[in-house]
Amino acid sequence: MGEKTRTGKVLLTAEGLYKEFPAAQGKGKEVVHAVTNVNLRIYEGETLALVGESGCGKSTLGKTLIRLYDADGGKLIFDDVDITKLNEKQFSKYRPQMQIIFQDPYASLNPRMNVFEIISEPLITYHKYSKEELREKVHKLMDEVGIAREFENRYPHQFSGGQRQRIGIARALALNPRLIVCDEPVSALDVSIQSQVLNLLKDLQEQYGFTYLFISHDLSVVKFIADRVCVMFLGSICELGDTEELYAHPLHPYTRFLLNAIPLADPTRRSEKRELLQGDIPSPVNPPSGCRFHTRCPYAKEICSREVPPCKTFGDRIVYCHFPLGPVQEAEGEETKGMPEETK
Amino acid sequence: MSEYVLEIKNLKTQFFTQKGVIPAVDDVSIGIPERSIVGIVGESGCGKSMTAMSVMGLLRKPGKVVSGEILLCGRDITHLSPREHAKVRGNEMSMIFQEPMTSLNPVTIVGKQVEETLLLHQKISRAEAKQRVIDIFREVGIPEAEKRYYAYPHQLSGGLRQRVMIAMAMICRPKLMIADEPTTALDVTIEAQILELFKKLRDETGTSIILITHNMGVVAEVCDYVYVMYAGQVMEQAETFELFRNTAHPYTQGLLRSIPSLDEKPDRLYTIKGVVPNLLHLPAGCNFSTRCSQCTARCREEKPQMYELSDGHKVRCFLYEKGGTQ
Repeated sequence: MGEKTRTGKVLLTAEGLYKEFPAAQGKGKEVVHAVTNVNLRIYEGETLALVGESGCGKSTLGKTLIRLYDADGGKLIFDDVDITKLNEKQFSKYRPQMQIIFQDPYASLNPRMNVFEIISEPLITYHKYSKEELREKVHKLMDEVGIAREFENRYPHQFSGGQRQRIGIARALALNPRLIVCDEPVSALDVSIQSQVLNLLKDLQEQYGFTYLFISHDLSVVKFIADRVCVMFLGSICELGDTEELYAHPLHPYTRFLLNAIPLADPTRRSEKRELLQGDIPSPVNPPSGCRFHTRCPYAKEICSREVPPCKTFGDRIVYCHFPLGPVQEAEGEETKGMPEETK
Repeated sequence: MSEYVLEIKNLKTQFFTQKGVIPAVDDVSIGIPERSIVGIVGESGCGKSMTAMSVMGLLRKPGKVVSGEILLCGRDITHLSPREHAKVRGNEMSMIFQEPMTSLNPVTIVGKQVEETLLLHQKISRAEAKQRVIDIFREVGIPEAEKRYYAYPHQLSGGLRQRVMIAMAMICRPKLMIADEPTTALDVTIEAQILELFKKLRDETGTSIILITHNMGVVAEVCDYVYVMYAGQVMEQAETFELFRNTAHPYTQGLLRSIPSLDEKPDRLYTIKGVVPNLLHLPAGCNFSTRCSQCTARCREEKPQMYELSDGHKVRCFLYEKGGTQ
């Protein structure tokens, strides 16, 4: 486990978190099980990545964790305080401490507001600054993310995708948050711009000690930025662990298939007989019984379709699988009930 | 190289807008050999899609092919009338797009949509056409093909929709299929399946595929030959192995270095400084000169030609004016 997680204190804890949405209108009582029984901890100063394919609930989980959605079950503890049931007024003390950067820099900035208005909006909402103070604050934020001060009167459409994402980052930083949810912050950007924004996020973290929850479907980006990775499939956690170790020795079959599927920028490692996952992702309206991955899993046995896999811990690693893979397979995993102990 | 299925010679496509003339495709020459997958890579706005649209005859006003030749199996198709182009499209060459949801008709069953292509180009009975559709559904890996014939697009997953699009593109056994970012909207596990399908189609049907993508990983995985484009021009072209082994152009090098790797975890990623230039205000010299780490005074004033490094490997950069060595 990384240095930050060993020394850091727990910033946010989720216990048995559930989130459901009513399925398409007029369909009666059907619900989409977007997030099911998620337990995790985010440590102060770390970058925890949430990865998985579209529809696996990673964005919903991210938004539920900072209460942009209200959870349908479970508990959220932020900085030792249970924030699950706080009303708007009580929660307003915590809201500025959790911010979010969205995927689409074209849709997440108001086209009728200029850069100054966009960045100053959260500052005006939560603080009473004089005009000069406000201007100074905004300019400092613009410097921070690399947008020249003279652009303060420009509108979003006058900027490129990468620059817009920088404006979105400046807005998220404005209230000096502790936790920033980055929801696919670079997936809409070109490769050469993507690396600029990733470096910026890393620089900012080093300087100010932000905690990132980094949501992404791109496993190579995650490898670069994350200290720990949490792999999700259809609303549930499959595996959670240290980035390096998880990539080197995936224990959940789904993690391994996901890693195998990435096309590498190296033709000499073209895999002639790649192990490919067959079939499609099942519907979250009627998720499969037992282990949700069992319909696609080549190692599934009878028990997998019957029972929800228990949470097993191998050192720092958490795996929800009846038959975890790999060298650790022989070593008996400890089954833990309830909240898994990530650190001892 | 032997027979070309498609040969593009010095193609120039421009957009005549109120703000000025945009050189979307500037002097691009591309050859697609038989039975091959050729990649065109580049970032948004580099002209890769516009090259494809020019070939397909799908350019809309104010876009226009200004000069150059497009030869499909030796026949000049550059200035066909819309009606003549429509005869070629779907029959001898076809195209699939990034968003399979928006390219399919939401109120018609997918089987009929694929069948339409066939009935348009060939004289066969409806019953025969239906059987052909079901056969091609099986060939592109759509499970329960008979049942899926009657499915509406919204009833299919993204991966299956893309397979339907591929079936539609392949049903007349075209010589050439252009795939414009076919896997960008798909998840990695589904993307891997579709890439495998492309390889299978190339090997079993002999159709050549132009794969337009921004993803170097996809290129490395399936392409035989690669063209790297930047700001409307081809910057480098080579066989895939050669391109990744002896990457020559500073842009290609930068592109490859800025991708996070799965093997190592650097402290910072390499970046290409700056942003893609506005095509209305291109630099006087090399299009990449504003961002190049090895830019010289000459690069800022003079436009470089394509220089041949080795057989089939060409680079648009003064560094290689004298051939292989820098």
